[in-house]
Amino acid sequence: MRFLRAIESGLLVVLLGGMVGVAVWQFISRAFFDGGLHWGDAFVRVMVLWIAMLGAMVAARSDDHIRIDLFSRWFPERVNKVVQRLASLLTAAVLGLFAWYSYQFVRLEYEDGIIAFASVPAWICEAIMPVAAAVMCLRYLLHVIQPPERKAG
Amino acid sequence: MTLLFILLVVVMVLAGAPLFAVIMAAAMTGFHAAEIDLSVVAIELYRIVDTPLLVALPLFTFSGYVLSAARTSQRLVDLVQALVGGMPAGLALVGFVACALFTALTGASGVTIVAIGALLLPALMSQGYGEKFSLGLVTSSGSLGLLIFPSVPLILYGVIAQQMDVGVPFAIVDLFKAGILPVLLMLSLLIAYTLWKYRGGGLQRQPFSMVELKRALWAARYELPLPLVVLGGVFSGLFAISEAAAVTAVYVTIAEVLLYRDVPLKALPQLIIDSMVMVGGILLILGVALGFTNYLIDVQIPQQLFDFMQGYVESPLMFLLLLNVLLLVLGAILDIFAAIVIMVPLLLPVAVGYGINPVHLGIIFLANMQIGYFTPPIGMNLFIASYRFRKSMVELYSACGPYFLVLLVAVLLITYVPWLSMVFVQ
Repeated sequence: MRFLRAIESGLLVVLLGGMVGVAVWQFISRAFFDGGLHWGDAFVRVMVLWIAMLGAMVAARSDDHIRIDLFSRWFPERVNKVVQRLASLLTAAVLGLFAWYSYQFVRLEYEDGIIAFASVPAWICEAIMPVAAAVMCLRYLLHVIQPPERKAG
Repeated sequence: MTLLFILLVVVMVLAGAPLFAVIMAAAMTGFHAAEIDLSVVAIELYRIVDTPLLVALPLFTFSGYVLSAARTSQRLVDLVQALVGGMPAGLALVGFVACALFTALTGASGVTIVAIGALLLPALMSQGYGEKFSLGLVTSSGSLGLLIFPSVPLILYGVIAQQMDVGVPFAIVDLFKAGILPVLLMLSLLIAYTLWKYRGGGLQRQPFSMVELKRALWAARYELPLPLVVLGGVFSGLFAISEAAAVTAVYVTIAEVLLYRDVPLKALPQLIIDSMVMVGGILLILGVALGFTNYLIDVQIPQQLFDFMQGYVESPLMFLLLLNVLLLVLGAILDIFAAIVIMVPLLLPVAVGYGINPVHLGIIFLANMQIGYFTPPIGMNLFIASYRFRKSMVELYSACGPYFLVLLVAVLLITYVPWLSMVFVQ
């Protein structure tokens, strides 16, 4: 788990750095040399998806996702913990389903040999979706067993 | 079966499950009922990749986090104070303007309350402003900047509205142009209220000092070019929004890490992770909502909603009034990003049906959300201020009340006078 955390955090830093680098390079080369990497824009947009999924994975570590919290203020802690476990269980179920169906999508694209940009196959770009969903699913299952403290909002 | 799934979605909402999971579950339920393979949810999520504008979101958010970690808030307050502090009710004006600019830059009104409010509250009280007045000022001004470029909620509205393709095309820059007069209107009304409140005098005036202004300008020397470069670049069409975001990220990092040395290089990775966790949360919701929206459009929910509403609400004015009430309530209970992602796809087609321009709707939407932030009893900024300034919620309700009324007048004017939003938009 600690190993996974290090990978997530490291990748986020590298991806954001890479994204800034390529985006600025695109701008400079377009403005001054009338050129730019022909795959640069597509690359940056895939980065956004990866950053989104990785960020969401990190947020799932301690259940930091945006939620609508309507009722917990009026209930005792004991009740809230039970409700929180239920919410985590259902969230894990949804994520499990999504991991499976996004894996199907990735597999189809792999079989069809679809190219995203340059010679990078689309399935590699898409693979972050089932992977992230699976990891988040696991994390929410752990939250069922041990609910994390929710930050005061 | 479908009924069971719908029930489970409702349970998830009530139990406070993460919003992305709720929307994902709702989308899956819908597609399942329509006998569409659920892979479609992944295909829709992957559409994030087809939206160039979204590149701006992580970049601006990262810049905002760096600016918040640096002493930018102090320099901003000093500079605005040196500029307008000498005017009547000058320090209150400083508060409004500094909060608005800081929120626009960082995209987070809670951060503004903590960063700027904490600087301003003691200063305001030492110049003779009442405690209640000052507390209300820093709490309610936290969300003032939502309509100013490069506010992230405004960009998010633009992304979703453009995806919807409702037949009235507009550019993101139009949204930024449209926000100018509404923001000035809010500031004017707030200042008018302050002057009226302290019409009998009792406030200290800080005389204008050229020395102070030069000192403040010098202190902000590395940050001052930033808004000029970015605003100038975007409005003149030299930069696309996403390019402006990349330039901003690089510029801010160089300024705060290398030139000011406010933020140590070692702190940068953690800032990246923190900001990207927030971005990830927002984008995941957006991604699954794109799928859900498509389902809604497939089964013509917005169209049905419009037909249904037309049976009861004939005039656009009546519709706008209902819209204001709805958005005020939503603004108080929903996170702003969640509100945009959930409500815009439903409201936009209906609003366009009533002849309201998407750009105008965006301004109305965000102006409402802005006051929703401090609408009693559960506006989010009330909690943040209560926590930060150690005041009870009841004290905050009464402190923010007058500001709520003043800004409500502004929101109503913005809603019913489209000219305010549309005058600079072709």
